[in-house]
Amino acid sequence: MKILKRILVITALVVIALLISYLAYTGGNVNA
Amino acid sequence: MRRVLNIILTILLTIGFVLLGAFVFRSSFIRLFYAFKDFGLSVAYYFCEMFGISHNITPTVNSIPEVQTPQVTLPTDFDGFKDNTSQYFSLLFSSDNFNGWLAHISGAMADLAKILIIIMPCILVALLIIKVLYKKENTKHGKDTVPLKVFKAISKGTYQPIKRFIREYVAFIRRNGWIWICWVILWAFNFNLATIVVEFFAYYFYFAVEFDFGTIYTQFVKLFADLKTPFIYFPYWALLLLIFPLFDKFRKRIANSRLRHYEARNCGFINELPIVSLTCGSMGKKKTTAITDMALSQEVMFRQKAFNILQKNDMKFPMFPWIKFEKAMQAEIENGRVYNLATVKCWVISLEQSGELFGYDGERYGLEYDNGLRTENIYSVLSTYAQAYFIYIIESSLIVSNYSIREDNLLADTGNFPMWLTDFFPTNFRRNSRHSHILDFDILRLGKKVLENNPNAGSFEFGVIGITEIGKERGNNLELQEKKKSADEANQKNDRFNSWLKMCRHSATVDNFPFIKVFADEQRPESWGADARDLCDIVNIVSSGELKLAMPFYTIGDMLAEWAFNKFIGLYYDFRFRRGDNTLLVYVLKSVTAWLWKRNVKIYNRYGFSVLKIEKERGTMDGKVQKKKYYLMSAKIYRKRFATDCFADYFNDMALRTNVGLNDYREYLTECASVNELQAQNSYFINALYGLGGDS
Repeated sequence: MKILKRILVITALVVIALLISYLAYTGGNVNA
Repeated sequence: MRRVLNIILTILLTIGFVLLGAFVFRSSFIRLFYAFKDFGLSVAYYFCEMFGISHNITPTVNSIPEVQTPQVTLPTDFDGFKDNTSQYFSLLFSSDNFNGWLAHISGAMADLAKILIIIMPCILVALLIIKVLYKKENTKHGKDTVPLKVFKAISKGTYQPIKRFIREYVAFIRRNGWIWICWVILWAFNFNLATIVVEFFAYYFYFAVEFDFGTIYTQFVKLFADLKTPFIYFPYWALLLLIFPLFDKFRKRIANSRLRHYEARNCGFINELPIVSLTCGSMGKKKTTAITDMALSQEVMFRQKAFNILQKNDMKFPMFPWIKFEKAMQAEIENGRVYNLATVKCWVISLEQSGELFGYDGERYGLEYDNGLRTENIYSVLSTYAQAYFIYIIESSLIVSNYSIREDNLLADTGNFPMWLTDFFPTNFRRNSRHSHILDFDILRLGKKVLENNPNAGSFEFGVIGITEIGKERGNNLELQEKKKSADEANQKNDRFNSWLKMCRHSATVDNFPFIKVFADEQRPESWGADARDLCDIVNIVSSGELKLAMPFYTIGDMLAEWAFNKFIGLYYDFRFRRGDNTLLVYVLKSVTAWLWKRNVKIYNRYGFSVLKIEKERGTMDGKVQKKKYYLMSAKIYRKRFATDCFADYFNDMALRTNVGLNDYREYLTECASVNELQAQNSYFINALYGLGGDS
């Protein structure tokens, strides 16, 4: 249970980091 | 000397901050000048419009000043913003953009891989060298290796003095909070935050007159431009340094509110219990922990209830000078004339006889209170108020128990109405302590007493009674077969303890509320005689759950601490098995691991809780079982509240009188015990087999 929670948290953090990176990258390309 | 140094450093730092403001953040101050100009014009515009004064003022709050233009990143008009937004969303779902991002990520990953390729062999080589170096065994107990000696010497001259200096300086700043406030204000100016506040009011006055929603977008543009100032000088990730402490505070606040919510649920559970309850469970199920926790909560609830009675009785005669009444009663308590509820009632009767009303104008404000059901005389209300005030004000524990319970409630008194600080989860724990009163069982006996003419007998009126292992004290019908009710000395059959249990609420009732509760524990409910047990609710502890954390978003921290500890501890004990000296690597690793471990333990102690699964049933044990939960919060119950080994001194004393320890007990010589070894057991069974002992 504890391990599952940890895996879920790490996965969520990685996904959020990638999402922010994509949103920021897209923002940089506006008017580029 | 140290103080002078602190003052000099403070002056130097302040001068530095001011110079930074003058030379680096100059544009912030120019921008602030324009903000004040906007504000002044908006205020003038607002008043002229409000009072109908003719004017030719043009508010400048909706124009972007020249000094701000380089920081403007958003389109200056709303149409441009709409264009950019639609462009952004079309890009967001465009495959070209996504592929470009993937290429960008791949590039970053490739850079990371290059770094790893360089670092990994270095780490491997370092590990190999360390392994070879640490392979040598020795028994140089407590001796430092040369690298460690060098490290300690360097640290002694550099890191430690700097750390000590910074710590002392931080303490100095905390002692003089105004310095910190001045610096925060200074940096608010440097970082353009003061401008935002001034601009907000400038726009507020303008908007109050014009109600022009079309200008809101310009304000957003200006706001974003103003907020950009700190990031011109610092990278975006520096924001983490600011965000993390705020985030930490936020999650701790959530944890505290969760713990307080659990405490409220516990109070609900305790309130459902009758006056007497028996908590049962096998050894290690946390029975005594549970009754201690309940006793602590109940004491706080009694104080709150007394306070509640005071508030309601105050309202019955709102103009009565309650403070004078309270002070007069406090004087009586200090003089020793008032020391229990009976003497409180006598004191109010004496007031009534002398017609004392502490300057209250009875003719003007009335001497009777009609609650719609009956009329109460002012002295009847005073009597109730005085009893509740006595329970509220009494500055000792309300718990009377046969084991010690520590509490830290604090009566804050500035000479007026005192207030109790009873929060179990304050930001800073209170350091004061008081302990529960020793339970003299004679005070609970209506019949024969163990100590004849016991001065305490009959004195108990109200409070929380905590009795651990009550079955051993009171016994059950089977165990008491030999005891006679007609015996000369006090015993469980003639002391009328059960009569007291049945009638105890009578002495403790104030304003129709009984200020008495008895919490007892025992392993089996049957160990306590049925006559008394039938009065109780039986709280069976089915299981005690594992320790959980009320603080959210701590998974990574928890994982890191656990991983560091588990990894290090294996290496460390392997090292300790082989070597007796102290090495640099172990010294550094141990310091870091211990820091992480201590921090983790602190968080679990502060915000940890476990759940007791409970089955509640009637004392007659023939009703339906109700499933309940009881929360044990570490910060409340494990803060040196009681000793789980509360009868340890008895066994300690016995052990001290012997000259034998575990090491001295004989061991079996083989797997099969010899006759001599069997007889050494002094067992009834073995003795019976060999025809030894009295029962053979």
